[in-house]
Parts: sequence; structure tokens; C-alpha cells
Amino acid sequence: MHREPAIAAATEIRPGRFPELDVLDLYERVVRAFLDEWRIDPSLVDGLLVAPAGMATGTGADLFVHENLGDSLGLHPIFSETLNAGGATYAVMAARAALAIASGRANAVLCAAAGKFPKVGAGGAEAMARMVSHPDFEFIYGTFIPALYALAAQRHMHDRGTTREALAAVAVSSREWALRHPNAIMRSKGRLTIGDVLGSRPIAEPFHMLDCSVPCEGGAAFLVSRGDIARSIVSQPAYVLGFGEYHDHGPISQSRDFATMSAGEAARQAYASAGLEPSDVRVAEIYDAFTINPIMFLEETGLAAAGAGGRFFLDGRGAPGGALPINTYGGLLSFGHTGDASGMSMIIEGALQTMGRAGDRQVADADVVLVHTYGGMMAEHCTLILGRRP
Amino acid sequence: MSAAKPLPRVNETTRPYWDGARAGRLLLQRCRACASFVHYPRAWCPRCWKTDLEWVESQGKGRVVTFTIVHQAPFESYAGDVPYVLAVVRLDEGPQMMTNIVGIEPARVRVDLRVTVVFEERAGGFRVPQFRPIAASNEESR
Repeated sequence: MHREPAIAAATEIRPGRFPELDVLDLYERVVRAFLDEWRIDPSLVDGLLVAPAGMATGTGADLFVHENLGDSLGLHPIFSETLNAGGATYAVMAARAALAIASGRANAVLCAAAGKFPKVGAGGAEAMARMVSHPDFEFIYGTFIPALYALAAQRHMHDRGTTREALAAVAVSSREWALRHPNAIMRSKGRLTIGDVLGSRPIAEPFHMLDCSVPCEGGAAFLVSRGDIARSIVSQPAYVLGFGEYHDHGPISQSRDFATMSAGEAARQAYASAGLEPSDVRVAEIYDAFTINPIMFLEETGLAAAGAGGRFFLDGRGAPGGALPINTYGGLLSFGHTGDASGMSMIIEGALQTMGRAGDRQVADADVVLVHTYGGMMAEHCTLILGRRP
Repeated sequence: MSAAKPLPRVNETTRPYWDGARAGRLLLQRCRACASFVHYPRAWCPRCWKTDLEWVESQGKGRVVTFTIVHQAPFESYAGDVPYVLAVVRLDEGPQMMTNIVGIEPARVRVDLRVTVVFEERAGGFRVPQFRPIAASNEESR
């Protein structure tokens, strides 16, 4: 890409519960951690992209985060907004930043997120269900997030023969990776077996408790900059080689294909813009609110044939030592799902793998890393392809 | 039952739909320009963007596109309903809708099951379209 846009710096705080912090306090903690880790000349940064504070709480979101955080950082950006595409927000930020950089409209864009997870008690689950489904034509049927995802899982199982055990194998694989990440929420819980997942409490078929990601809070920040600036910050940046985005349905009942959620369109654009093919990808980080997602989107990004995603995980091919490592940070399933900021985690990990900074979980030949994210109820998709050479 | 199940909000665009449901009729919009059927109700045709839509009665029949059996009630008003079936049904006229499948053992619901509309009574005289199998058996539990 022109001017070689690259992720030059990436930091995610250790996820947890922060009852004493509101979302803007959490933003402060995230940005401070980022500034403590990286030496960045503020005068080079001319862009700022952030997410609304408090989306997932359903209580109304702060849409002026870019003004307040920009001021707090002493920035006067020429490219800035508070941007939302749900879980795809941060990949969309990276794509927008790369476009602005490639076209000469910006040189270095700071992207940041902080996420709280709403408490499910005290009307929280109801407020959340109302937000994620059509309030008048879906919510009235007793919708909630696991059940809406189960609609996709059930159709994938029907159309492609995916088994209940294959879903469990995704959770098992992610846990193996989490054991290698010092900050993963579920690291202390130890290994998981397929039997553990099948034996956990049923929520909405086919999902049991351990098919669901782990609610927590946290946040992350990354800088996308011109290639030369990136190389002045870090010896091996994660170049943004390609990206694609696609916005499908609104309410999930309007999806045209529950087995795919039409995610492949974003991936096709990403490969085309990078001039790469699925066989070039060495590591993939795939948004995983539930165990069906890595199977479904492995297939949709062309990394497994249609119907082969389940077998891929049953054979351990995405686990440590497998042929194509998937969700090497533990995924939202075992690293933790940081509410509004969850779409950051797979980008940060994708960047760290590409940079060679992933510690004990580093994949040796992470030359090309695919990151797939989605927002809403698998409604909008954004795929990034990162690499070691511009 | 302590808590009442949720009710839809009604506005100018959706009132005929809910009035139809009260009368035991499942209504759809049809575009007068391109003849597309439309659900959920809206002020324009999503296919051709013409704004001239008429209300027609659906045959009320369709197929299960996908479903889930819910075991954990998401909130109090569903506590007495678990396990219940949340599903997407594709009507024979084309549109898809979120709904519940009733009148069948949840474990027997399948993708492509043929279903027909029934109505669940809610507070305030609201009636909410749900679906039951067309070949109703003697095992109906509702």
C-alpha cells in the first residue's frame, strides 16, 4: 500500500473487573499504559479514532470521546472521530487509518478503546437484549445474545455437518493458548476438555456455558502510521497489507445466510487488496464471542473449506503446535471479552504476532496474519491482513 | 407469572401490523411498484426505494430457517417458559421473521419444519405472532 501504513505500537491492558472506574477512567488507564510502553513523538500524531464510551451498557453512549481524549492528549488532529461498528469498530479504525495514511491525509493515527461489560442482573440483560435485537420485532420473542448466536450455530450444523464436539474443541484450543498468555482471564483455570464443555450448564442449544466468551473489562490502543514513522518506533512493524469490510443485515432475523453471515465478502476484499491468498496466511485471529465463530469464519475467510472448520479444531490444527494457529491469545473465550473493547484484542494479538512480540505464544513464521472481526449480531464484518514486509 | 412479557412499541408505520395481529391476521407490506413483500414494517421498499406500500394478509405459512432451544431464561418474564424455542421463520411470501415455535416438543423442532401462524396473548390486548407445526400431532403441549 502507498506510504506503507503499519501498526507501529500496540498495547492491551490486563483484562479484569474495574468497578471503581467508569469508561473514561478506563480510557485513561489504557492510554497511560500505551504511553508507558512506547516512545512516541506527539507531534507526529495527526489522527485519533476512538469508540463511544458505554455502548454495551445500553445506557446511552458518550459520542464525544475523540474531543475529550484528543484534548487531554494535547492533540489537534486533522483526522478524528468517535466511530462505532460494534465488535468490528477497531478493525474498521485500522482500515480507515490505513486509507487516510495511504492517501496522504494523515501520517499517524492513534486508535483506542476501553470497554466495560454490563452487569446482567438488575435489568441489564433485558436492556442488552433490546439493544442487540429489533426492539419491536425480535426482542418480544425472548431474545438474548447467546440465543441469537445459537441461531447461526444451529444452521451451520445443519448445512455443514458441524458437530457439538467441534464447537467444544474451539473452546479447548483457545484455552491452550490462554495458558501461554500472562494476562488471559482463564489462564488460572487450567486446561479444558471437550467433556468439560459438554458438561457445563446448557444456555441456548447448542451452546453451553463454556461455549460462551468470558465477560470482563479492559481496553487497548494501537498506532497506525506511515511505514517510515513506524520503523522509527519499532524494528518490525505490522504492515497493513489489505483490508475489507462488509455490512450485511441489521436485525439478525434478516440475515440471508445463517451458516455464513456473509462474512466472506470482507475477506475477499482483504485478500484482493493485499494481493494474497488464504494459503499465505500463517496465523489467524478471529473474533469469537461463541465457539461457532472461529469455525464459521475460518471457512468464510477461506482458511478451511466449507464444512471443514469443525474438523480443523477437532484435529487440533488451530491449537499450539498446529498447522495454522488460531486465536493465539486465548480468544474472547479464554482471554476475556472486554465489552465494547473486545474487537481490539484480536488486532493487538495479530499485531504482536506480526511484530514478533508475542512472548511464550509467539508463532515462529508469523509473516502474514489475518484478523477477522464483526460487529452487531455478526452483521458487519471487517478483515485485516497484517504482514512483516510492506 | 409475576413479570409480564415485553410488548412492542407501536408507531404510525407498524400500527396496521399490530392491529392485524389483534384480529388474528398476520399482515405484510407489499410494494405497489415492484410487488416485493416486506417485513418488518417500514416506510419504503428496501428493494426499489419506492414509498408506496400496501398491507396484505399473509397466508401465515412458512419454514423454520433456524432455531435454538433456550434453557436459561434471559429475564424474569421468560422464567416460566424455559425451555422455549426461539426461531427464524421464512414465510412462503418471502420475508423472514423472528418468532417462537410452539405446540411441539422443543427437541423435535428441525430446520425446514413447516409451520403456520398462531397468536400469543400479551398484556393490553396485544397478540404476538408465533408458529406451530402444520402437521400438528396429538403431542401438542401448549
